[in-house]
Amino acid sequence: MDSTAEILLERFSAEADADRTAARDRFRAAGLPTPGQEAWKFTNLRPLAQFLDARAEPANDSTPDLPGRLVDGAYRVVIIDGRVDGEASGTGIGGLSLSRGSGLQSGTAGNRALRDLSIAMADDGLRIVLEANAAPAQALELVFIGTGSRPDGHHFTLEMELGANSALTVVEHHLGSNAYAATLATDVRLADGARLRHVKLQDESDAAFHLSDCALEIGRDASCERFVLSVGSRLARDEVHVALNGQGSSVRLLGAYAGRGQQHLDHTTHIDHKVPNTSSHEVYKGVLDDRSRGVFQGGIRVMQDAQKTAGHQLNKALLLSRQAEIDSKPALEIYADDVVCSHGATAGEIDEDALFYLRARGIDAAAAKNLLVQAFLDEVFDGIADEALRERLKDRVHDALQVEGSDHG
Amino acid sequence: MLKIENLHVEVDGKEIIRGLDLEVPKGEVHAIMGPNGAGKSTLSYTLAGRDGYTVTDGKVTFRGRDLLDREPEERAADGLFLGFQYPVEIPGVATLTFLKTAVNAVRRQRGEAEYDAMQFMKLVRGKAKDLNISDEMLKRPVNVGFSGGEKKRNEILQMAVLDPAFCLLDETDSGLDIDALKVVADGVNALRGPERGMLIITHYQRLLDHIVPDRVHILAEGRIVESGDKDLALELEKKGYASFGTDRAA
Ligand SMILES: Nc1ncnc2c1ncn2[C@@H]1O[C@H](COP(=O)(O)OP(=O)(O)O)[C@@H](O)[C@H]1O
Ligand SMILES: [Mg+2]
Repeated sequence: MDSTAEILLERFSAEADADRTAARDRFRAAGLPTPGQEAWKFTNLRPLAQFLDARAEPANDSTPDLPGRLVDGAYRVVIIDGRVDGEASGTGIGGLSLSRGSGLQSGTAGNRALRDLSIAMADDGLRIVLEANAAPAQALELVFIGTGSRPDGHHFTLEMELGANSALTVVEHHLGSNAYAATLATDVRLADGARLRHVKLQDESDAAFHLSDCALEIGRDASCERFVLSVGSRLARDEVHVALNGQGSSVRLLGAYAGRGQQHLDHTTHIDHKVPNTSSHEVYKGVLDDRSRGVFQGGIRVMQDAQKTAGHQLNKALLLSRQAEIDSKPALEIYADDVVCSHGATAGEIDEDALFYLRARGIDAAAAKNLLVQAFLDEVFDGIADEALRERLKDRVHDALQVEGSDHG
Repeated sequence: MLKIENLHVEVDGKEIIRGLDLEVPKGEVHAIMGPNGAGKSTLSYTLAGRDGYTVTDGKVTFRGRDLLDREPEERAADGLFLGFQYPVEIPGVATLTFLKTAVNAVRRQRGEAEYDAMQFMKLVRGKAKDLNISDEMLKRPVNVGFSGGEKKRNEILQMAVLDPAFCLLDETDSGLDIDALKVVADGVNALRGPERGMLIITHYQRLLDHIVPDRVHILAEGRIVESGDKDLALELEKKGYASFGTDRAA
């Protein structure tokens, strides 16, 4: 086994159950993913290996400040360095129950190293259960804070179980300071007719690694809308694996990302259309400046039985510097014949005609550029129903992208 | 107000403007007419400061200072307005947002107080009404899905809101039907005044029936080949461009 995997597994608990031990064994056997593997072709974890090998001193364990809520009035659970802060039980929200505890039940097929690692090593986790027919107006907001107190990595598991015809909004806010490696494995199961709105803001420290694997199982007539905004981390991977298991089920995956400096932001999605009459819709848009690098891998698989499938995927990147780079890989596997699927990927620079037009009206080059970048990204944000949330996320990405000086690119 | 002396401009290594002289005093409206490819848009873009238009010789003075070393946004703040022959579509940026950002950027550079939302809306509503521009159009992204006439009216709206000292209009009449042409001409005429200069670039004489110029210049192959009063435009309409020092037909 390689030394990085060794470091990551060092604290493996002797009392671990069979699921965790199996996950540990899988991770140990496969080792840390390398670009030699198809799924990791564009993302090299060597910086993570170097970070772990260097065995940084733990950062001072000061109590971190809590950020403002992304959703007004949301019920909050705070997770610091992979441990739930305080109690997480009675929420007072009708039909919703939370319980602590690490571990995910389901095993996985294929190479899902991040998931295996999180399951094997999580010290803590959260299980969220919503009763059938419950539809709380109040959102649940999970705030994940990294402090750098655990330089060998912190890990967490999240489980969400939505009963039939229930509806819930869950927001994840990931942030932190100092250097750390955070992993997260999530299992979401939507029973028939359930609806989940899932919003994730990845705003980790610039020195952090963020590695997340989310599995979504969607039942009959159930739907999930997921939005991810990635602005933080030096290296981040957001993996989403969707199984459309029931007829009439649908998923919408929206993503926006903004990379600067040497950031590496990877969004990898896989959608399985398993039965007839399911639909998926995917739009990811990114802005990449400096020497940052974006990766988008979008897999759609339509099984033989899955007639009347609609699958649409779009990935667009705006490159603000000549050193910025995007790797985009759509992968469609279609085994049914009566389907409507499309995919498109574009990468381009700022529209010089538009830039000149704005400048000719008195808007300076930097402001004009910002306006165009915002306009490019805003389309994805329009998919967020909650206006206050949408504006907060937009503000965040616009702040992150403020172009300094006017002689960029 | 605007003085161009011996201007030479290259685009992609090819000389397009070849020794052009022109002076527009304040309070006057001048027209430039010329065949397709004569260099009219090249002149406009050069004056507005677009990248890729390399001045290899000559001098342009605007309101007493050298124009050519200024950034495009500075030229706009100095009071130069270019109405584009082909207004650019900007998806995702609402026309109102664009107008407000522009007018406040210009006011800031001029050391004037920025408009607040109320003042701005009042200003825009009034001007938009004169130009038959609906609120709905103002909410749409800049020029996206606008008809040719809507785009040109939008240019005139921007001009009216920005209140420039000098208006340079590049074929603002092209693609307009007669009603739209009148609306645009009225918009331009409303801005005529003793303190303002205008240079109206057009391919057809028809616009000059509505905006009557003080002087008319004929541009061919990169230089002014003839100047005269408004009757020159009529003469040109009759004889065609071929008789004015160019072998290209209109
Ligand atoms: N971006 C460009 N690159 C190369 N040649 C150009 C470019 N723009 C204009 N030209 C050439 O310059 C000449 C003048 O064009 P233009 O100024 O657009 O003429 P007009 O506006 O009078 O019709 C034409 O021969 C045209 O082909
Ligand atoms: Mg032209």
